[in-house]
Amino acid sequence: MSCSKPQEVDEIFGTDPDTRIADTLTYVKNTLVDAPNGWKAYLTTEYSGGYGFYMQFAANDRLKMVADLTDQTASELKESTYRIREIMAATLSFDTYSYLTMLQDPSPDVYDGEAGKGMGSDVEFDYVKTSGDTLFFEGRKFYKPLMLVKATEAQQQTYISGKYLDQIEKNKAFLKENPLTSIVVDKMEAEITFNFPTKIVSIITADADGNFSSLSASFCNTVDGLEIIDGIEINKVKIIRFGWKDENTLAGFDTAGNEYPIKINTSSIVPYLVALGTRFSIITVPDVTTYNGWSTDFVARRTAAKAGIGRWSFGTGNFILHTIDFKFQVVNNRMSVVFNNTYGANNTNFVLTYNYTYTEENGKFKFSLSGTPGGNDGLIYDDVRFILQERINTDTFELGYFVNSETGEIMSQFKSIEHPDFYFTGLNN
Amino acid sequence: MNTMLKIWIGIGLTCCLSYSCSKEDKLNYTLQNYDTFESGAIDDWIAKNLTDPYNIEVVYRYQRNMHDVNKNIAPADESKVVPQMEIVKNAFLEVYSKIGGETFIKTYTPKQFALFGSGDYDPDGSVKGGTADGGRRITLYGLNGLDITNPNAVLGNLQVVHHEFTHIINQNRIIPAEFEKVCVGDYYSNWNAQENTQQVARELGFITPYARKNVGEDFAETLSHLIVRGQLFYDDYAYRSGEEAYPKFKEKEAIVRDYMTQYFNIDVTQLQMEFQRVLEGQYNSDALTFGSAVNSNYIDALNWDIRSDWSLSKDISQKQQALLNPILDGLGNYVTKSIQFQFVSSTEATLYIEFGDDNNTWGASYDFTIAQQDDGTFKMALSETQGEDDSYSYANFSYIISDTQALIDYLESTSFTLDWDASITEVAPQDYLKYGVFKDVSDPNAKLLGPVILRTY
Repeated sequence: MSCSKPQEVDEIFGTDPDTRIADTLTYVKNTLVDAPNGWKAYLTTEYSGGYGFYMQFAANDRLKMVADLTDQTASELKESTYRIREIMAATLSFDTYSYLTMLQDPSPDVYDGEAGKGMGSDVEFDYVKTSGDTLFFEGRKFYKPLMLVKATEAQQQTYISGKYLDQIEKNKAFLKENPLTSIVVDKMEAEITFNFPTKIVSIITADADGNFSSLSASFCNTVDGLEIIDGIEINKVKIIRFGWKDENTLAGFDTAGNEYPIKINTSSIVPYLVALGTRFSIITVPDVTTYNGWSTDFVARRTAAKAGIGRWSFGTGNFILHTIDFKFQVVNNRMSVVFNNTYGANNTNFVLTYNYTYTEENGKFKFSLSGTPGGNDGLIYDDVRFILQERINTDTFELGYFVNSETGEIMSQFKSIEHPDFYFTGLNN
Repeated sequence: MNTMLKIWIGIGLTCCLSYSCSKEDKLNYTLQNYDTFESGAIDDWIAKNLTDPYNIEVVYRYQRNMHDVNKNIAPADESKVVPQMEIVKNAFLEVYSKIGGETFIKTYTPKQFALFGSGDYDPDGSVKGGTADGGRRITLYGLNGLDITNPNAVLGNLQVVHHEFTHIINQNRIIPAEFEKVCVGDYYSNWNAQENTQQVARELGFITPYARKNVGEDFAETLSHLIVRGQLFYDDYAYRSGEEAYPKFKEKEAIVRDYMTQYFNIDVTQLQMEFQRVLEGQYNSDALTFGSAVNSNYIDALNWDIRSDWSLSKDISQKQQALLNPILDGLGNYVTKSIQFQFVSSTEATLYIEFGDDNNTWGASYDFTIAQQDDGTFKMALSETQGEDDSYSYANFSYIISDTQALIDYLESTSFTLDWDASITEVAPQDYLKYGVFKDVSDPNAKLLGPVILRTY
């Protein structure tokens, strides 16, 4: 049909783009399918930490996986589909519902993600590169890495036989029982805290001058231990995983395979008074009726204060007390007690704030109210007397670490010296 | 292997035809998109049930370009795909196929369905259930929450499907000009604005706030609600929207019905009946039963005057005759003019009898409570406090109560199932939703039957 003879194309890369992209698509698909024992997979998320998977890809676009999201996802193989698509690059698309897409699901009732955003994860991952036994992908929307590492036959057996859950339980149990652990890298001690609900590991180190610094990274469970997905650098050494040496010994490993045994400690390497104001400056009393480390008297007084605040409203629904924050400004010895409330059909926030100055001696704190509370704080002041006027304003408090015996989390505890039956705990933020 | 090359071929042809004789040198080159997938059991089901008979493509494997790219929307769970598309097939395609004919539905059905697992979350926290693009594609969200044992979940997406389909037929036969005239001046493109509440919209004569967007949406909302929510819902909604709005609703309904008959030879009542048949037969829905209509307080009253013409063609039970004849043959020296069982709310009803002579008419009223039991049957009891007007005192005159007592006792002592007189599989179109019956649970021959009276202005 055309009037002129088409010009031939000069191919700089030797083959045409069609052939080259087709090559990549074929390479990615064949590599995934041909791995005899399937793949261990790790990814990180925007609004949470890391997650671990085991995946088996079949040539017919079908995929089986387990994941360390819940007990069920860790023990039951879920089958779904995938495909390698040509989008901007070769893209691995988890194109029907699977454990992996639970992280992306925008409905909060699926995996407790943010409404409309989920955990900030992807369905589609662009192929980036291959390095040894590892394929690297990147999420198309949130740009988070997805790494696939070839599994061994032994690992495959553990994953598909439901024993992945046992390993996760073992990791959790060990770290709950031993909440204060550290490793020493070339004489530098690093305290390690694994937070299983958020899947984030934090590390605190002290230098020779006694200055502390902290770092965090995403981790996930594997059948061999815990994988630090992007690695975490301690004293210029990159620790990439923690593995079980034997039934009761966990050790850290760096990129070169060097081993750093875990030390089990009874106290934090960071003294409480150093941590307060540097590692955390807010102690948050959670929105529950009873809690690990609360005395009966505190439970009763908190309930009374909640009822007191609950008498008030702006005419559109009474105030409901949720959390109470103790906010410290260590540099100028100030502390504020903040009652966080909501009201009305839309749960509008309403906050009561009471400001204090304090003195501290040998870990014992004495708080003095700054001025007279005004406005709404003044109006409702009498209703929080159970906690403030009758205790915080008058007593001397000993503050220290408290290990939650249910979660293994390291929290703070207030203990009244004058009223030994009044003590409570809060989360360090 | 399925390949998606058609679009590329289309573009290629266009460019060749338009530019084939230009003087510029062409590159001897084509690019292909290797978007391929392996088909499985679900694809086979789709091919057999939807693609082959209706030329419908179902995109259930995640494709970002099928949703708003700024949103995060989860892919569909494979196990929900066939159940969802079966609902579409049963309660949409086959309903129209049966009533409008195979050619009709094959010609006009949307040709592509895209399915997603989660809802489509908007920044304001609202969640969309479905959308449609220019009559070609229907996108259904929230598949992973589908529970086919829950009839309400089944209904969820169907309104979207029927709504979008209306747009397609509107593109082939335009909406009659008189439709727009009913609510002219009240359409509001910014329908999502806060001031366009349901209350505001309904008082203007719109079935939903969305219907105000433009005449096309209004038409689609009207027809889809008539089918999916049913006639009684529509009539009740119209009535409760107020005296000014009511005639607008009824006029729109009349135009929609006329449009469907004139252009497509489809009787909307037949569509409603077929839809109900599918819901009840295949999904155990009780959404459109007489009992549900009573529970929703859609019905004004049952006419129990078995002397009227309607009773000639009906089988009136011995029981009903025995209970009603003593009342209908006169109360004392007066003539009985009418008897109705009037529904006041979903839990209250009044037995109301009119009597009198040539010059006077009085009433006798008995208030009842009406309650559905756990087993689905209904029980009635005389209310402890009766109304206060004269009809309640007349009700206790001895020459009246002597005739009504037997009926009152029977109503109080009997468990009833509430049904339509003829089941949905047997009812004639002219009798559809017209006759309600109280069936005595303990006696299959005993029932109280009467024409349904709806509220109007």
